[in-house]
Amino acid sequence: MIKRLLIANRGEIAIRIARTCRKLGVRPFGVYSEADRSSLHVKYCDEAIDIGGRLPSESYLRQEKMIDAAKKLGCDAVHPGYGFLSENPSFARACRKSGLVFVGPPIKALELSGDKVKAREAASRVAPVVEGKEVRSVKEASRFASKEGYPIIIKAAKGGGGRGLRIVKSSGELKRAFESSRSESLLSFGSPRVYVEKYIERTRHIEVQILADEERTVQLGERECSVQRRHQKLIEETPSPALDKGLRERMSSVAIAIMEEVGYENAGTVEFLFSDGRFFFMEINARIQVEHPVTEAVTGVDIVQEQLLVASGKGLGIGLKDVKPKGHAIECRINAEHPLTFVPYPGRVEEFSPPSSAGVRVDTFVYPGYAIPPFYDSLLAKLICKGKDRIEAMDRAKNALTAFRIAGIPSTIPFHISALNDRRFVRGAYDTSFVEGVKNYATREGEAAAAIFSQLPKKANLVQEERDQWMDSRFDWVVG
Amino acid sequence: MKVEVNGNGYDIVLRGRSALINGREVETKRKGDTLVIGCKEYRLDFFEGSLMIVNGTAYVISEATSSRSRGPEVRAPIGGKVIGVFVKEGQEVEEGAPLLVLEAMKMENQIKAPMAGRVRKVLVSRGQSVIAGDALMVFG
Repeated sequence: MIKRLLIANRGEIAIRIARTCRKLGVRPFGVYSEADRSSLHVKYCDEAIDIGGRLPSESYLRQEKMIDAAKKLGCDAVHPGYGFLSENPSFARACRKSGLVFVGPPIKALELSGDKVKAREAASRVAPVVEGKEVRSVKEASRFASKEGYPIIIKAAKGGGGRGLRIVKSSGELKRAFESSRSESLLSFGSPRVYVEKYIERTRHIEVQILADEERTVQLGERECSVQRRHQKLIEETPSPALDKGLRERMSSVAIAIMEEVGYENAGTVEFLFSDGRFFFMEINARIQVEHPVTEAVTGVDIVQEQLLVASGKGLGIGLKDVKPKGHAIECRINAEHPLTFVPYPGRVEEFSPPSSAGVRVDTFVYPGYAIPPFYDSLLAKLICKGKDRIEAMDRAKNALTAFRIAGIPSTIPFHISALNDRRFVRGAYDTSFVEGVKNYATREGEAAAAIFSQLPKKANLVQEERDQWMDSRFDWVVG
Repeated sequence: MKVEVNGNGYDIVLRGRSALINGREVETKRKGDTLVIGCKEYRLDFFEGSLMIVNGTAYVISEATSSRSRGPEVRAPIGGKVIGVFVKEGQEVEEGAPLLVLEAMKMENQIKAPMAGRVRKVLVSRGQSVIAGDALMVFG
């Protein structure tokens, strides 16, 4: 079994991984950037090394710094978490070269799933896929569009997390979209390669959680991930209200077939587009995902534990028959963002009191007084609520959101309250366009809001001034 | 004072321990960041620019002013780097038309026209860094 694990990540996922380490008797070790000296994940590790830098490109994306840290700390394995180096085959290779176990899929499977074009090809042998191809010029993209018809979607071949994604509705938008997709892809993933697909409107995103070792590929049910803004997820739930028993069985067996086709091991996800009762392969996410706790809530499986067991060569700890999802779970991503425009807002969290009650789990790294650094993603906390059925899960989520207090910076809590009160969500009848139609909830108390506003001192924008000072002193807006 | 909340107007008159809201008198009491109105407590979580969050609910709020001589401004909702400007001074735009792109936290954030009208002044240029609240453009 792995004895000393380097967690090559930060934030809530680093803490979440450390928690499972403690349970298994594995010693967790960490790294932190200059901007993360006061981050809580440092305290959850037995020891952590300052790797310097603030931008990801100077810190958490630096392979050699991670390998050095692992060696200095005497680690025998590295868990990359999500984002950063998690799906980087060259990092997995570097780990292996240094005698470190990489907690993730085999390098070949990582390479295949990381190249969206090749992954599509492999999946198309066992699963339905949407029309699409790699394009090297606007001309090629335009030829594809005139054959398939608009709208089309441009995606980064090495992409993920919505970066580089552009929906093109007409030929007039194609050039700008193609170019900005390429430049964002280059900036985010180091490769300007893009491919185009026919864009299906009014779809849902549904993904299947897979766990695999050398012998078996097991599925832990699906997650419905259609509540998104800018192609990044805000709410996930399991099971999906869109699938019946037959569809669920078909989707999960196709997901297993895809993962077997690419020789997958460890934890991973197969993402599908779902529209009008049909589903199409979208991509493989070769990592632990942000939204994994909803699956844990209904299956009782600790996915990180399974990752560590498989990486240690012990094989899956769960039997095929062990996975019987029970109840319903919903995750709300609480981000440091304007709740109406979703523009990120880094800054100091004056107050932070997460809710706690039956069926409620909060994964976070935030504490009162903590300043959210502007260099990384805006996730503050994940609120996961479980109930015996969907209604109970929604009720618990609404109550928990109302009790969750974050002050000093705005968060997406108001959005989630609005979303959970939206009729379409309540009925389970929503698709990826849901967020655009969410009406701001509880405007009934406009009178009270006006009264509070009138009582605020004239210099009420103190928070703003403090933030500006803080940003001026700590941040130069160079994004690598 | 006239206050606009999510598009609705309210008349507020403060009178020590009470307030007249649209002519109706209610008792108010302040306790730190909490305001008690009648018998309900309202906690102020966040206030900046036109965004106010109270008890986990978001309000778009501003003091209603009658004179708009300077013309409405478009302000930066977050600090970042301007990586593209789509409009020129004097240009007529429709509501929701993309005005510029701000890059922050590795995301490209498109700033859209809050209303239909003429862009009178463009105050920033490509490559420039701005902080939250900076005026980017003036309409009118």
